[in-house]
Amino acid sequence: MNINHHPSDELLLDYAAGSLREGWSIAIATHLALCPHCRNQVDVMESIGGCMLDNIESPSMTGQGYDDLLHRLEGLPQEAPAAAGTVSEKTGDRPVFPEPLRGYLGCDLDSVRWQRLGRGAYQVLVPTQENDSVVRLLRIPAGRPVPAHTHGGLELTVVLQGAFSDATGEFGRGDIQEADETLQHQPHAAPGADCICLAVTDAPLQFNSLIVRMLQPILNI
Amino acid sequence: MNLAYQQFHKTSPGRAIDGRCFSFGSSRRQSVTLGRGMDIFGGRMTQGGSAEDEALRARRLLIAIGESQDRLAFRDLFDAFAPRLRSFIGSRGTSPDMVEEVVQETFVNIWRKARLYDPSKASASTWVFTIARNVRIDLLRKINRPVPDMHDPALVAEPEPGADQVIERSQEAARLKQAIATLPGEQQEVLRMAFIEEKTHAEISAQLDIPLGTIKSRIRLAFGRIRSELGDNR
Repeated sequence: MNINHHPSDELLLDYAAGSLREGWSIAIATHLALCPHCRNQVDVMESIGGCMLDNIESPSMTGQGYDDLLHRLEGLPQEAPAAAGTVSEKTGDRPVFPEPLRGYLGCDLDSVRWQRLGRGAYQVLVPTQENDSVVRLLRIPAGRPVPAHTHGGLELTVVLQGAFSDATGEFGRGDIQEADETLQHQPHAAPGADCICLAVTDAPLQFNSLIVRMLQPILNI
Repeated sequence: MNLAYQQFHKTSPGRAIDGRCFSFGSSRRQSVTLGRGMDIFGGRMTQGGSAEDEALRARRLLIAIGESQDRLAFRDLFDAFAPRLRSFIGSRGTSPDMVEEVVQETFVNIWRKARLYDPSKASASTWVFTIARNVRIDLLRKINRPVPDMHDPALVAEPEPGADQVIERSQEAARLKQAIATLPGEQQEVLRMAFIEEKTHAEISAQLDIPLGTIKSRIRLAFGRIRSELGDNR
């Protein structure tokens, strides 16, 4: 698999530093599960966090709080490393949705309860604790366009199956698109398989078509 | 050299599934021969050693905690990191009680997860940083940080790290420190606000009243420089 579209450094930094909110973090973490290159980038950023921790000035008190800590530790087991070979190595039964997405949905692709959006498109909302963004799975029928739209805020899209393309390029499994107010696009699902994406937005999409705009409140997109 | 590090502390089989509990009453000590290369890391954490020496010592302590529930090593790790963690977490406007809670829970997690520490992946400081970051998100935001699962069959794996990477990660910490120190002040400031004040790049832009695009380019320049400094291993 060849991933050509990666998150920006600034989003990876927010994720590595721990400030990125939950919805966006699900998209970044889902991309990371499919992209060893970006996991490595996050490792580098985390090691900057380690350096900052090393370099910080602190009063050299030792021991404070240690007795409290011992009480918390009494009887507490250490976690054992996962035994090698517990993961199914059989090819063919790899889930379509990697973790953490699969855990958020509680299922893989074959059990998703899709809601119709019309024109052959479907969605399912992904429940989150932090509600400053909306996380959803979208299923666009193979070979069909998504209505042209711009974005009120940021939109992150991670492709999980199939592919789509727009003026900025072609996006396949694992690719992530970072779209903002400046991107006016009409994504088009590639022929073959339906295109299934994880999409995170912090503001409703702004569709060019009046009919689609009128349907937006009903469709919940 | 501290003799305690050469002793292998074993707890009696406990009720825990894997039998590795933290328990005072039932421990006995047993001297065993150290593994190859262990003797060079025998000293306690001391101030004033080179950055690389300190990184190696901290790594050694973590491994001792994981392999043999070494409580003296745990105490040394606490003394080395707890004051810095308090400063680190406390510089974000968090209340003193919550700072202490995050520090305590961080060390509870260090104890519980020490066997999972992989020195080929991260230096000890980096590992402690990631644990503290996750504890803070858990306690203050009440969410589990979304992360990939390294044992997920859907995960796209990377090639196994080479045998020489264990040493490289510790050397890398020293190189990284140097690389950060030579960044322009405005780039260092953005990194400091991101990690220590835990602000998003959008929040940094708002606080400094500098356009988002400028902050983004500072971040990209800083990482471009750091990546090239770390060389081909990354």
